[in-house]
Amino acid sequence: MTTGAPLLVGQAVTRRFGGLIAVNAVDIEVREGEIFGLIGPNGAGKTTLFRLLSGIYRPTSGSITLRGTEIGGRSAHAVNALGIATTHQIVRPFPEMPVEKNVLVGVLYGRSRLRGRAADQEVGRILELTELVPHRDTLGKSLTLARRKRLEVARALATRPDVLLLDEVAAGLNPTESARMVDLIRRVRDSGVAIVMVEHVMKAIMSLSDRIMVMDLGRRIALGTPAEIAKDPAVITAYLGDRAAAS
Amino acid sequence: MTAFLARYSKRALVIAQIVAVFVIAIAIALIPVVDERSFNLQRITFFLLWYAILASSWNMIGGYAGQTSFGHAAFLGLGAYVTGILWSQLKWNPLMTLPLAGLVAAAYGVIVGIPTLRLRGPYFAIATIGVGEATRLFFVNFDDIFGVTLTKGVTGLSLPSFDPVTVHYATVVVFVAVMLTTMWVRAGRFGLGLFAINMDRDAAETAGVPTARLQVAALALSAFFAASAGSLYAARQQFLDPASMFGFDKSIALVLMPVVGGIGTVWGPVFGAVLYSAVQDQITSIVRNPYLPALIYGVLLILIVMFEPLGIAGLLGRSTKYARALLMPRDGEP
Repeated sequence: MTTGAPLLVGQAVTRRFGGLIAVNAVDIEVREGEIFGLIGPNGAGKTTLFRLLSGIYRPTSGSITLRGTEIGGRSAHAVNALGIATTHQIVRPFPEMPVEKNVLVGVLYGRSRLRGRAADQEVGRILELTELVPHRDTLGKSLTLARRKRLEVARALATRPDVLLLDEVAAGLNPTESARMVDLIRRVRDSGVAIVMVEHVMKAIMSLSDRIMVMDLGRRIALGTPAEIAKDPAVITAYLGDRAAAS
Repeated sequence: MTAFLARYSKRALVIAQIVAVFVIAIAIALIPVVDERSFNLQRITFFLLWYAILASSWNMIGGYAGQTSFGHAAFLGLGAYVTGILWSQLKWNPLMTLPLAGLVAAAYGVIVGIPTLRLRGPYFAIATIGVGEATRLFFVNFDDIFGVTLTKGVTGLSLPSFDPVTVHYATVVVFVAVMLTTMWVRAGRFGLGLFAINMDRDAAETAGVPTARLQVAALALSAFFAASAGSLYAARQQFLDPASMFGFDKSIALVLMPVVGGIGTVWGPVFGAVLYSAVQDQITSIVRNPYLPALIYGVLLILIVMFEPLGIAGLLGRSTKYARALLMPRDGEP
């Protein structure tokens, strides 16, 4: 799929915590239909930027817009209503609800406006997409980690977002499960949802992303295709130090 | 096919419950018809339904939304006093003022709920204790504050007499209304959202649930029915005083009934109300010790919290598969 018009745009986004500038004047532009990777060493400000994009944090300065609408300072459900859905890094399914009800919450309170039988059909469609159909009656708390992560994606998708923010959905998964998650993310993108993902599993993010942004110490140090990023001296310095970049 | 069967049995469960509500309602409504002089039975069944209405109303915010209110007597008393004042001053028919009393309490619920429902963990519960006590004190000092003679403070407000049989029928109607409402909430989108909030408020927010709005709505709905019980009490007992209407012991009773009966279920609060009114009524009349019901209830509460979190509904629900589906449905199911 070719990438399209700008969708989620951040301009000079800055977030301070007291004296610490966690995100420093970062520009970001996520386009329709793309998978946008966000990487960087620990403490680079990825998670903070992510929370700014999902409306959990309000930027200290700068603006974040989705199709021109400012998202800063809205509550999480209002951001969701605009079309940005998030998964949690620590998975949080509704523990006492069966899988299908977990997804139904997203369908009924998301942007689809479906009710009754149509809502149930939508739940079925999402369970199929996320390969959770055999587990539809299992309680959220009884799922394995890999399935919880897929449920997290399913519930976010159920709200019919334009952009899906994935926070380390491959972390803690074994190679088979991780490959399955990669396939799922591709299917989601192919269904027309742009994806922003923070990930430590390099294999996953390198194989999936159309473009990757690298952060270090709160700043954007590189932006490009996975191949460009892998060769970028600034990136190598950030991850491995000066001598590695020189050699 | 399985989906079809699931849908069918879901429908069957809903119908079975509606039938049960109407059977109970009609049976109790017939009592004064069958025997005009069954005053004692009428009194017992009035309080049975009255407690069931209160317990079910508490369950909407405390059970479904998971926000434990220790000040629910505020809404009960507010409803009672709205009806009492309009009746004693303006001679408005107390049953006609019931919806108005409910709406006043619902508005109060919104005003109280917007700041307090932001609180997490035990802090909402603590705040509601404050709300309950503040409301009681407001009504104790009402006449002094406004320089009027409307509530007569701690001495209490005596009301003109009213036909208890009419109140009996009205109570049956309110009972049916509260049961149908609680079933509707539980089975639908509203209830699903409340359960989601109850389990994980942040996750619910990111799934698009407007958590603050939903919780305030649940509190308002709960307050409406608690206040309608207050109106019924005013019409039936024809005497109101702040201690019995707003007392902390009333608020505690409103928590105990649904918890003992089965929190978050449709029928649990009804079971709790049956047990509570039986303990309250029968034990005191047999042994004449006013503290014994509280003791019995305390022991029951400890046993239930330790062994059966779903209370009486849980105990009965484990007997058969059908009872299980009927009495202890999973969250988000009717």
